[in-house]
Amino acid sequence: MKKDYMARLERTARWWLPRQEAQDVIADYRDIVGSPPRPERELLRDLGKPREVVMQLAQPKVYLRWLAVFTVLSACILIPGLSPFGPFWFIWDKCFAGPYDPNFAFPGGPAGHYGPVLALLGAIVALIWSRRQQREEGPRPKAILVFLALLLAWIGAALLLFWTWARDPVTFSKVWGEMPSWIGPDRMVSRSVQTLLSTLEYGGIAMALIGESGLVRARTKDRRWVAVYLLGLAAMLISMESLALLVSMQTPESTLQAGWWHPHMQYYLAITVAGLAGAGVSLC
Amino acid sequence: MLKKDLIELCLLHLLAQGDQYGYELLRRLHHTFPDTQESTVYALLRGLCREGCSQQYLGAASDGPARKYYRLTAQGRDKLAALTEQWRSLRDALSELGIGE
Repeated sequence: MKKDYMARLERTARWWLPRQEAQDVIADYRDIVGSPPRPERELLRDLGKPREVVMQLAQPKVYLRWLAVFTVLSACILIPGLSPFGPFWFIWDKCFAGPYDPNFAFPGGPAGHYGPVLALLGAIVALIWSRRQQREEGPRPKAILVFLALLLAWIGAALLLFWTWARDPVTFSKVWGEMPSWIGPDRMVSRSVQTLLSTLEYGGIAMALIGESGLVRARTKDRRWVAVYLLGLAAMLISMESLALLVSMQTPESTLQAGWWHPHMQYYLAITVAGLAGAGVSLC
Repeated sequence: MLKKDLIELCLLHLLAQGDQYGYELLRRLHHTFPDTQESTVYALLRGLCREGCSQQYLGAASDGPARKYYRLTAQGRDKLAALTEQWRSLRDALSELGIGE
């Protein structure tokens, strides 16, 4: 029971208080709760609920500053990341340009292309916030590396899918067992292309959510979890950008020249390198 | 003078008598003010540290890990004097009204 009380207090303290203060308070309460050991009922009577304990220590100004940072960082990954969802379609248009938008251009086209801008803002704010936090002393949590490997595997898969399709869309569709039927004004897409689009869409959403979880863990567990947020941003952005490109095309075979996809691939690789560099910096 | 000020006065008074082990300080104050939770006393103690009225340091313990002790600072002595003066004024004012006689 004592462990439950301390676990709740630790979680609450790490969220509400600055890192150093949270560590001090947790150390003090381990002492208070453990000497002599008391059952949870007594702890609640003598100390109050963990949230009440922490709220007495929280400084509103300091907490509001963190909340502002958290809101900005969450918005930067969740707004573009969740934009393909049906109810948020109007956001998708603003973030990555709509499928019927004649002004579509990448990136920063005139039609409104705020997804990369938000991602860049998120990366900069996350890096600044991360560098201002106290340096972590302990060993790097293995779970961070597992999450980074997962994100990197997704980026690799997304790039491979895009490359395979872009190089030879007809063969790609054949490989999936059918000929493309999406050429023409009705914008019908083959099952293989539809699968590719859905994979990018749901994969991108999942990457955004993983990135967000990295941000929460960076506050409540270890500052180095920011690396997961940063690579999550990159993975989300690559998914959404390639998705936007694919759904924006009407007749690629007849109008596009060989190698049309090279600048796009270079752009995605640049995002990957930037994401890896950001993750590397925040792991130090 | 609020109850918060009274508890701060007591904390500063105890620290003026010598450095104190944090947990012991909480227990003593909780014993004096049983309807006040230890967490409230702890929050006030940390508040005094934040204001610079007290300082904490790790002191050696013979039978276990190092313990956190608190000591009074010069600023803390000033605050103690100010709160004591407030308390005396309040006590005199109440006596004039015949309260507590």
